[in-house]
Amino acid sequence: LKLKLFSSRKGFELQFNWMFVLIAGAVFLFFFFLIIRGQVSVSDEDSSLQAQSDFGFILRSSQGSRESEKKIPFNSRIEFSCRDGVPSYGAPGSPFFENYQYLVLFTPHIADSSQLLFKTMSLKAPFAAASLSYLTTGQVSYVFLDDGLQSKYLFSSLPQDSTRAFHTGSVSSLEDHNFDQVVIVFDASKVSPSDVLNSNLPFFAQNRHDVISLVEYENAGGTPGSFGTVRFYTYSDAGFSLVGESYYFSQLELLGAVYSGSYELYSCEADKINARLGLISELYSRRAAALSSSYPSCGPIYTSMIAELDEVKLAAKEPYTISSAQRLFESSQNVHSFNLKLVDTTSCALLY
Amino acid sequence: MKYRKSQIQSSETIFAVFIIIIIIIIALVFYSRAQEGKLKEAEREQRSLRMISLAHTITSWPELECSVLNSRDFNCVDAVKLDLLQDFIKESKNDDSYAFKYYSDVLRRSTITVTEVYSFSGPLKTWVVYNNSFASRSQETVYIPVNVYYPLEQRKSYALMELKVYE
Repeated sequence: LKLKLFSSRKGFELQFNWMFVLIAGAVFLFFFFLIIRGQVSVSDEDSSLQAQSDFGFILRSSQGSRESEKKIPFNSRIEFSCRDGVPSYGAPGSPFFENYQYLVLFTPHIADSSQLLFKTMSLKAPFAAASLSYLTTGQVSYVFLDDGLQSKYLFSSLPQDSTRAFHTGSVSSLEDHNFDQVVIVFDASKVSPSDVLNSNLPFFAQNRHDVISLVEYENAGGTPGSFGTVRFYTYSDAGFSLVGESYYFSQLELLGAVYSGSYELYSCEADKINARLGLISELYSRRAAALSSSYPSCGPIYTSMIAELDEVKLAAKEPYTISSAQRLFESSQNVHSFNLKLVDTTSCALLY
Repeated sequence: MKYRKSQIQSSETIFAVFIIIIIIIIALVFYSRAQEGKLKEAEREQRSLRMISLAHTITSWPELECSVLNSRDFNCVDAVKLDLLQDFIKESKNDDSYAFKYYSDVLRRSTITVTEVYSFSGPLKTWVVYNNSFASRSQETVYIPVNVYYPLEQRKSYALMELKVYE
C-alpha cells in the first residue's frame, strides 16, 4: 500500500501536502516555543529587576529619615557584596547588580525573608553627618557571648523582631537552628578571646560552617563604644580564623559591624562613612569661617573648631587605623565642647 | 496556461501559510506597542518614586538643615549653609572630587533651587543649590515650602524649594 501511495501521482501530491503542513507546523511550533521561552526568561528578569528597583527605592528614601525602624514586606532574595571597594546589591536572576557607592548600608551578605527589618540612624560627629541604614531579617541570628554594658546596648539596638539572644555559657553549646547566618558577638574585655577562638561548634554540621561569623570588639576609649578595634572571623573544621581587622569611632559604626558580621561589607561602609565625614567637615569648617568673620569676638572659638575639623578631615582621608579612629572620636568631641562653649559663654551663632 | 489540480492545492496551502504569517506579524506589532506603553508607564513611575525619595532626602539634609545643638527645625534651611553649599558644589564640579561624585550620585539629573517668596526684612534671594539640568522631554517638578533661617541676623523668611528631576 505504501509503495502504491508513493508511486501514483495522487499519492505523491497527498504526501507533499502533508509534509508541507508538517514542516510549516513544526516551524510555527518552534517559533512559538522560542517566544514563550524568551517571555519566561524576560519575566524572571523583570521580577528580579523589580525587586532590585524596589529595594533601591527603600534604600534611597531611607536617607531622608533620621531615626526610624520599619518592617518591610519583601518577597525576594537580595544579595550584597563589596568588590574593589564598590558595594553592590542585586536579586538572583538580575542581569546586573546595582552599586551603592555613596549610601551607607550595614547588612549581612544575604537578605532572604518575607520581611526586611530596616533601621535608620543619624551619625553625629558631633553634628548630623550621615544617615546610616541597617538591614537584617529574622533569618539572621545574633548571639551575644557577654552581657556587659556595651553588648547590652548593641543587643537593644537590634530590631525588636530580629533573632537575638544572650548566650553566656560555653560557645561549644551553641545549637544550629538552621538560620541563614549566625553572627556571634563578644566584647574582648568581658570574654577571653582565646577561649572563644579555640572553641568548636559540634552542633553545626560541616556544610553549615559557612553560615557562622564571629565579631570580636575591643573598646580602646575610656567610655563604652567610643572607639576601638573590631575583628571578623569565619568558622571551618580547623576552628575560627581571622578574616580581617577594622576600627570604629562611634557606637553606630560598631552596631554596623554587628549587623553585617562581615569584614568585607563592614570595611566598605566604614570607608564610605569616613569619606562622607571628610566632606561634611569641610562644609562645617567653611561655616565656622563664615561665622567667625561675622562674630570677631568669638573668633578664637571658631578658629579652634576649624582646627579640630581639619583634624577630622585629615583622619578621615587616611587609611582606617586605631589612631585615625581615635582622632576622629576625640576631634568630634572637641568640636562639641567648643559648640557648648559658644552656648554657655557667648551670644554668637552656633556651628550646629 | 492550464494549472493542475495539485498545483492549485499547493498554492492554496502556501497562501494560507502566508496569511497566517502576516497575522502573526500583525499580532507581534500590537504586542510590542502594548509593551512599549507599559515600559513608558514604568519609567514615569520610577521618575516619580525618585522624586519623592529625593524630596524627602533634601528636606532633612545635614548640608542644609537648621539645627541648634542637633535639635532639628522641621522644613527649615540655613541661609549660610545655602550660600556655602551652592559654592561648594560648583567648586567640586570643576575639580571632579569625591564631593562632586557624591552629589551627582545622590541628586543625579536634577535641579534644586530655593527662592524666597516673603521676607520680613531684606531683599528676596534665590539660590541654585545644584544644577544638573539637560534638555529633556520627561521632567517632573515639585515645590516644597521651607523656612530660610539667617543665623547671623537671627531672622527667618519663607521660600519655595523647587526640585526638578529629569530623565
